Amino acid sequence: MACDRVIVATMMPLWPLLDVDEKATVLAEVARSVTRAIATAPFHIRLAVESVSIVISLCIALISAGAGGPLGRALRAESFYRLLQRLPGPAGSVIRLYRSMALLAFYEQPPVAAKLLAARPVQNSKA
Amino acid sequence: MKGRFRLNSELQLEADAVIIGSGAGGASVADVLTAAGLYVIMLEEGGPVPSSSASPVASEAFAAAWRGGGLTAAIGRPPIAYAEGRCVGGGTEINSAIAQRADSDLLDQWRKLYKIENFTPDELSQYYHRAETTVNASLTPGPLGRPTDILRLGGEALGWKVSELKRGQRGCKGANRCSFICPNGAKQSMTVTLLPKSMDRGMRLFARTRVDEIRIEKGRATAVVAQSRDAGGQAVHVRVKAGLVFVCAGAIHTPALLRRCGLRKRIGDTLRIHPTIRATALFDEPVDAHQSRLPLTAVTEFMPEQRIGGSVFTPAVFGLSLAEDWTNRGELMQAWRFCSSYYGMIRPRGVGSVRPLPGIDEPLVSFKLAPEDWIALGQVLTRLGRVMFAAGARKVFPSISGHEGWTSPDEVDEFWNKPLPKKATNLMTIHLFSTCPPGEHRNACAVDSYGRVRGVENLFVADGSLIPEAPGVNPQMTIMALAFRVAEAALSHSAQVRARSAARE
Repeated sequence: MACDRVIVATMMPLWPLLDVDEKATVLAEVARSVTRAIATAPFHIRLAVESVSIVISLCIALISAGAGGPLGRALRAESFYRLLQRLPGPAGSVIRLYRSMALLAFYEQPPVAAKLLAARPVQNSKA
Repeated sequence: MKGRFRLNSELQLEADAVIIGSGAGGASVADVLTAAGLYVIMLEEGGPVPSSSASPVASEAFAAAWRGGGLTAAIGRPPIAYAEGRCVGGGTEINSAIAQRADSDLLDQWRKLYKIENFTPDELSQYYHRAETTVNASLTPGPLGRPTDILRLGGEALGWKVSELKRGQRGCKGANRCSFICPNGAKQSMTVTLLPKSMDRGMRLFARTRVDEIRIEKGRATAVVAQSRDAGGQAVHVRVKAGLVFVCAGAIHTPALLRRCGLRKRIGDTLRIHPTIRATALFDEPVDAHQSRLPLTAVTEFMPEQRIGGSVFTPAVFGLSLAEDWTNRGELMQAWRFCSSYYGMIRPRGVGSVRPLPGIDEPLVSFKLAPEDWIALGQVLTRLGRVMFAAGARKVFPSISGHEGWTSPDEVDEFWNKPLPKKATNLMTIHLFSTCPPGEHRNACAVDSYGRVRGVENLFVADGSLIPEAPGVNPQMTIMALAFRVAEAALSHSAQVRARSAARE
């Protein structure tokens, strides 16, 4: 679904680094996986997700206008998601669900999994 | 074979018994009935997922074997994500196969409270023994790996009781895919143990067959009506007439089905779960939990009220767990090899409910935690933090969105005397029970002491719904024990009925 792709595109992790071709392939696969996962969800969850996701993806499209590159769009989207998660109602849960499914599918993609396993085991500074 | 097709694509079948559901409960009932020579038909909503085709990719495995692809949650504050199997073999295909008996004191307490006949620990022992033998409940041989060592070292350093967990396994190779269907057939799930045995004795199993209705007339279940698919994907109506009907669809779908059939008294009103909270620990040395078996020890010092354990870890599943607070914890992914996730679960006092929704397959599930549950969750989270630091963790992140994590053992007492933040706390469960509690206490029990639905002579419940309250341990052994017991009682009852009717004639 187009809405899924719009939302998932803003949730793709920046690490591990992928080249442009890999990124495009991985995004397409992750979006497909998320759409498939939502299609198998129970009806009441599917109903909530599909109705809310239309509004969210429209908002993403609006706030992304003039944001520059993908990083700028992702940053604006992230601020928007943080706002939604503070509000009452189902939008926060829908964002969480998209994020869960997107992350699961992302780290399962063969190029990503290969990079994860090949990465030198070093702890990052924040952790 | 007692079956025939009609022109309008309705398959009409007759059997001595029909079993709805092929998980721990249904397969155990089938074992007893087929051993007694009954002709049994089993109806399973999910499809078969053989070991040979089990996907190592979590999202594919969830779609194939988990109900709703794993996207199921009980409504409440907070919502509690839950998981159920939906495939041939049911939950036994996606659980960790941990084999534990319910605590004897608890069994006695339930026997008295619900007035359950012949329910002493001694009387149940033979059924537990049968369940344990069936799945070869045994300690896993060979090195268990660092995630297990972490829990053992931490618990022992604190002077707490730590137990190695027996599992239903035979030759476990440590694929670390228990939740995705064991690729080696080493997990002694129902598709490896009881289902083939019953099918060898003549049982007929219909997969991808969802039961719509149990017809009840004059106090007897007369037929089970279901929808199936033929080899070409065409919908086929299935109608099974049987002398005995067993509902073994799990603690959510058994009450939903019974309520859809007009059986509502105390059914689906008392859902119990094990609310579970996770914590992620960061260590100085690599844990490489993805290369190990899931943690096969548990801190059992506080059982049955609280237990600390672990579950399957892969990079993708770890990434999924970080979704609850990606903004603050996303960077942990770069240190995934140094991380390990553990959980604390409690025996709650709160209850939930299951209600079918007209025209919709999935029922509405809700669960309300009691105030004392929040205290218990705060305690088990504190203890979980203590174990992690005692095992050498550098930082521990409780599953609370927005929480910055603990950097020293002094900080973990934060929630010992203070309730967890309700909105930010993330809970889940894989254990669901008690929606049809058994016993002779008519104001509290949905079914009699032997699982028979009140007012319907030949309709029985035999799955997790029967466990009177949360047992504080993995429930598979208790489900199997109770299902063996229900099936034996049903056989004996049906023999008595036949003898009475023969005497009358």
